[in-house]
Amino acid sequence: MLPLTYAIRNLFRDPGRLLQTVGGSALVVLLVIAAGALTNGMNGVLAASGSERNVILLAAGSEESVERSEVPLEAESAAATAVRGLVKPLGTTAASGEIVYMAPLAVGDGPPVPALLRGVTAKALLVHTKVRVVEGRFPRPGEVIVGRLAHRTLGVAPGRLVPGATIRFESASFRVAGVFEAPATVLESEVWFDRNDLATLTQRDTLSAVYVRLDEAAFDDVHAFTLQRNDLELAAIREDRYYDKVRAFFAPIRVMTWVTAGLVAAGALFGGLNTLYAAFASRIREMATLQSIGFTRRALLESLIQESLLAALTGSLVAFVLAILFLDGRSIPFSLGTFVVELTPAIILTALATGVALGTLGTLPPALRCLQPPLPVALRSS
Amino acid sequence: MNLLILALKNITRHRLRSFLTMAGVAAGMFLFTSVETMQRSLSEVTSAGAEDTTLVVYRENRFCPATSRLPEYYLSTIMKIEGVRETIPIQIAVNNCGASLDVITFRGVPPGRLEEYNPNLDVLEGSFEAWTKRSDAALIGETFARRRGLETGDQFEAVGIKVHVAGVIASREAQDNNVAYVHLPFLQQASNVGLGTVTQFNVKIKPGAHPDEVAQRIDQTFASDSQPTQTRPEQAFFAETARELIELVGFTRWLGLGAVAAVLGLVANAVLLIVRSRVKETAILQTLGFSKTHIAALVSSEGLLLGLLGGAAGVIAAVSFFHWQSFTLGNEGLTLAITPDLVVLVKGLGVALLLGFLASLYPAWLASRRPVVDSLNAA
Amino acid sequence: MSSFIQIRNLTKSYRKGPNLITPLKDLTLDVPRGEFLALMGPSGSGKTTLLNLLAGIDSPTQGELLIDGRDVARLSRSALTKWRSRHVGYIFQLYHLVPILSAWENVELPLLLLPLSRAERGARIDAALELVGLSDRSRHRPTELSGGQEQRVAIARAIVHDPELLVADEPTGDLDSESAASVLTLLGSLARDHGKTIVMVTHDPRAASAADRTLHLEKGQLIESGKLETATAGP
Repeated sequence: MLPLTYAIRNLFRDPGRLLQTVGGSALVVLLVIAAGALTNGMNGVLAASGSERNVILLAAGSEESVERSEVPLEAESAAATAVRGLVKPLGTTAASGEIVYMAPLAVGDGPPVPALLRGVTAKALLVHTKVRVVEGRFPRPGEVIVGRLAHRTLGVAPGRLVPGATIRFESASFRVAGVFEAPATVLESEVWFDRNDLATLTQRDTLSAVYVRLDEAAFDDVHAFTLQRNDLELAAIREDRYYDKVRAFFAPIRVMTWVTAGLVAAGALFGGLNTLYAAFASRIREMATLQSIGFTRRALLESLIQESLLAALTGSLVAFVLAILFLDGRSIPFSLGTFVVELTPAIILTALATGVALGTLGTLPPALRCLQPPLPVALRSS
Repeated sequence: MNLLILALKNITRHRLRSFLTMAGVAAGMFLFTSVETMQRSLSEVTSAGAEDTTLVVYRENRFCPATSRLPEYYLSTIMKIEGVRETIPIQIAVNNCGASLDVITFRGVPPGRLEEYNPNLDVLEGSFEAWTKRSDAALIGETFARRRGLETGDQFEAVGIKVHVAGVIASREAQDNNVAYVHLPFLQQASNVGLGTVTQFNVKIKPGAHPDEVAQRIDQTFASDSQPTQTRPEQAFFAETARELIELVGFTRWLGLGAVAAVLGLVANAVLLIVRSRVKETAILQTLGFSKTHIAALVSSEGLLLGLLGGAAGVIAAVSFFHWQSFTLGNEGLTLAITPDLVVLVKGLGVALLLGFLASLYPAWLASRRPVVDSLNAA
Repeated sequence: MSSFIQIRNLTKSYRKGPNLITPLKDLTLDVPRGEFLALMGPSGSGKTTLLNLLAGIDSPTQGELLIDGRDVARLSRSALTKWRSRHVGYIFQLYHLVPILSAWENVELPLLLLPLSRAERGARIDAALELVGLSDRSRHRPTELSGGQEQRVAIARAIVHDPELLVADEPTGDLDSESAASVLTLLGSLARDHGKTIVMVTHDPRAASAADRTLHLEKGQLIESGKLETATAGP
């Protein structure tokens, strides 16, 4: 076995090449981390946003988008009374009729920015159990409550959206009464209004949907309700299934992310292979000499892989550091909401595996080529 | 010219290295061309053309089609405004407001009016008559038809609405190619919006009239009504409404730059390796009489060829890909068809050539200035 | 008593493109233990091929190659590698030292293949460097040494594991006459005082004159000519 110092010193033989190998590995690993974290984040927030205990009643034909749906007001009370087995804390049935609306909002005297508005009653908290008011209180007429990440959607600093601040919708002003959190769900980027206020503002006398929470009831019970009352023209869909559909809708964008990462990584990989082929080609004679002394090809191959692995792992480390500094904890807004980038153990493991693969598998073709010529020929090469 | 042939021979001599470099360049240029195609498609839709401006009359302060509700009776008032040539009311139904690839858009229009309003509509399959006869008939744009594999006589359902395909149309106006035109009353009922309400009015102005003036006049007319309007040229409307889409496409510009940087680095690396491996050979050429300029030109040619050949592969692959696989991005009921054209092809090839050249500048200079004696003695 | 090296009907051929090249055909040779043998001949005569076969770097196509009683021609590649690491030292014309290692570390390389403790290795390396007269340069890297010094480090590397056989391919080809002379003296003493069998390929008649016996290789055939008693075949 060749000593490890041989491998280490060979790395520093050519500082330019070392920079390239480390830089190239860092780039590839960073791309893997970024693509993984972004798709994970988008998937995650959509997956977590839907609960399997909640069922959404929307207008038949609008199962893909709550915003488009219009449901008569009476559906809320109809569902509350007709469906048995819904959650009923302290005597109030968890059936929340809500208006979901996308419209421009302005913070203070800033410019209007498109945001997601939800007109709710206090019953919303019974259904959306992940929601917790962390500052202030639930809004009364003339007031709103904002999600913790709503500032991202509205493009203002977090400090501007605190209890006491003003939000404008067209010509009407509303006071921010509180802030709520709903970790890892899209709800956190929404602005919640008193339902009557929103109905007046948007001049509609219909709800977008009714959300119910199941206790002993099953989904089929809710479905049966929609069939019994087909005059209301409702369709029932489980909340998590709803978000699954939404997720599927965004699949092409996720594909685009990976394809882009793949293309750039391929470019970096090819450049790295080129460099390695050239670097090893200039050491054919040295490898042959070591073989003539009596070192086996396998021992030499191991040493070459040690070298590359050291470089690739260093690159991976650089990528990790950059990812932690610039990616971790970042909130990225997309049409439905905002997700927070998180470097999960799975992503880190995948990135590490990529680095290891680069250092081992990526090195094999050039290394094997370097060790392949028969000794007499190799000893003569320059 | 002989130098170019020599450069080509050198490239084919080291097949693996050349292949790796060109493959990497192809990947980078594929990305760059894809981004360029998107950017160009978007700029065509959002930059105002000189002729035939269409104005879009929308509910003030609204973006999602589901939220813009204008009374259908506005139609007669708009027709009487100075400068207005033709108007058509449109009800829009989409399956999703957010920016994404698989957006399905229905446009409900009065059946008798469509042909009048847009005489430039080419009917590729089926006919206007067939469309006017059935209340659930749909005329679908050719890009939409291709994307979904639909033909005249097919039935399809989307957004909770079931329609019968009466024909396939093509039009110069980009939006038309990506939507399904259905009867207005049919859509109003099927989407529960109710008769008498529409999403928007599209207005064609008289030649010589000022679009901004006409727009202002329309808005002033309805300013104090229960549904005030906001009227803009179609391109501006797109730019302000499809904000998410524009942000997405704008973001891809960074990807394009990244691709360019990657290609530059890749070719520079490859040419540098080439120069280093041929030190002695370069010296021998110089003793034969090749000047420093010749050497530099030879190296530059190799970089150029690597960039061009690899780039051509990537650019052509991307253009073919977008040509055969039609992608349409949609946002808030508006659609953007990603289609490549000759300009993108030429620009891509030009950029590849330029990158190949730039990347070899430093290595070429390096190769030409090393003293001959040192090079000959190199091991 | 049989010779240290016994070659019978040795043939080596290989393909170069479409052609079949046979540098050695039906060669027969005996080399007694402790002899310093020089091989001369025009280029292409096959002398380096013969050297590589002796050193176990290459395998013959046909024939018998017995070194110290072992038929090296029949060994598998891994067995050959192992045999080589213990019984042969190779000295190259261009030294072939590893540039990133110091002289001391270069000499250490063959010992890394043997089961020795660190202290044992150190002792042997110091002894080898002492023998070639470079103890004071042990920490220097090849780039800091002169050509003659590099070759002596290479010789130290070739003997540090105490092989019985040394093969040298134009060891003085790249040296000035003074360094060449000291290298040849060193080789002579290794054969005479330490009992090593040395086979050296050279172009230089002066180098050949330092050897006990010189053989000419022409078109794969051996022709005897030496300054000691001529002997075509050992006893």
